[in-house]
Amino acid sequence: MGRFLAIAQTGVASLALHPLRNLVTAIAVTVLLLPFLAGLAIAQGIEEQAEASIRFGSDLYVTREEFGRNAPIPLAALDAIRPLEGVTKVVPRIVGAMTLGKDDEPVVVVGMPVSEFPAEVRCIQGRLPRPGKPNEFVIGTELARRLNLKLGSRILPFYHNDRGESISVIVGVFEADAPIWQARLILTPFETAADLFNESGRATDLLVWCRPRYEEQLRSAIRHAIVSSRVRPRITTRGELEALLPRDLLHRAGIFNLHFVLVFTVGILVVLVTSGIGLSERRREIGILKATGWQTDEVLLRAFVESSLLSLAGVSLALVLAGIWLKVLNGYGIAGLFLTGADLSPAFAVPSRLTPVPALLGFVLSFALVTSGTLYSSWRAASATTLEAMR
Amino acid sequence: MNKASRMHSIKPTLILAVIVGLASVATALMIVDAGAKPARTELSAEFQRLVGGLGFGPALDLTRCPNSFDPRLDDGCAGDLEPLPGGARFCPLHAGSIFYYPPLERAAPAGTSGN
Repeated sequence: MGRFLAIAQTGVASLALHPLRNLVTAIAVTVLLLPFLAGLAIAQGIEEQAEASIRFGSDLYVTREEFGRNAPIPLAALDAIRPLEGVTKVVPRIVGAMTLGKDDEPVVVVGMPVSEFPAEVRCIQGRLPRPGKPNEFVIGTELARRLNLKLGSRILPFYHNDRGESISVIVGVFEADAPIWQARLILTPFETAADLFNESGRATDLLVWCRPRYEEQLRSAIRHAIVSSRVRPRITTRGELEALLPRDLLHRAGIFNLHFVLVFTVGILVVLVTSGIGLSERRREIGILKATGWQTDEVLLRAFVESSLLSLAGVSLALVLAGIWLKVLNGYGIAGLFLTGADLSPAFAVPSRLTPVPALLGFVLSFALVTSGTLYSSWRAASATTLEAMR
Repeated sequence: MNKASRMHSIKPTLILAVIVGLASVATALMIVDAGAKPARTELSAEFQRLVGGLGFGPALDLTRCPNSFDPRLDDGCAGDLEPLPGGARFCPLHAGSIFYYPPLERAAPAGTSGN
């Protein structure tokens, strides 16, 4: 054990022997890992918020199908669903897209019945909207910044309604720490949202809460209750949404992983050059060690310790910098790459989670990178004769 | 022991201390982040109760692909149907997304004929 520790100590000392080379290697590893860790942290942050969206939403979402796509559902379906066994609550909701402002900023309008609003909320600066005229809105932070709106701001009529239009007043702004989907949201009473879209008697979906384990039974019951020649129901359950969540770290398709496979492959070539493959200095160093009685396995252990410490330094620095980039700088410059519609400096808190699994994966990847440069060349030199190594 | 050799013996310890320090800071960051989770969850819960459960994917609006905003709003990618059929293949919210998920797999309605 003592011999093992003594050899390991020489591995630490070897870091000090080539400070510039080791610093460049550690920086190269950090630069490669930083966007990878930051991207994974953002993905896990979005996943955490998506989990909450499922958990704190309703048990079933009922809408209508038309031409294979979601279509609004008549409010009359509420009366058909409410009496069904297992149903505890049914709430109509409007979710629609509009544009606002001279630059046609895209907006997500959400209309909910005011009876569903709690007495107090902490995720809003200001208060919740009330029905009536003028229209009252709670808006998201990105929208507030882009349109220069704040509490008390008034918006001239921007929609058409057969019964006439009205001025709209901002009564609340979502907190920046609220989930990212508040960014371009306008929350308003259900009746106001219906007016904005010049609709009546319809909702985009009905939110159904039920007693535990009634989901599947209610799915069939609701379908039978409201199906007709004009209404083909489309029902989404909480279980179906949960099945969408990527459960394991490597189950993320898209070009993100492919890009990083390419980056790491190129990284191996970079580290091979900077770590000294073919450099005579390392060979001579190992030759001297062999001349003083070191065995091949001891030389390799020394190189292993050196590589491990370099990898640990690289991944730790990458993790610390990722933390600063995401938590302090709010993902400046990187949020827009992963969240469509986000500015260079987003007006909302970019979600991110720094967890051990990506850090461990980063360590394994950085170890593979660094080891490919040091261990192989060390083994080649250690396996050669002392004279050959010192040449 | 002269100054040069003292420096020589201190350097490896210093380097090891820096690396261990960095690793400690990184570990502390992860622990602090995990500790902030309950507060984040509470804020998320309040928002989601307000809007009835909305938002799931990396999109912030409904213009390009409502499914990437929330799969409850639309099945699959809107780009698959218009303006060109099969356009889901070049929808940036899927092809380049860091948070990819497939279209909802809905259970077949009871009474319909299966395969």
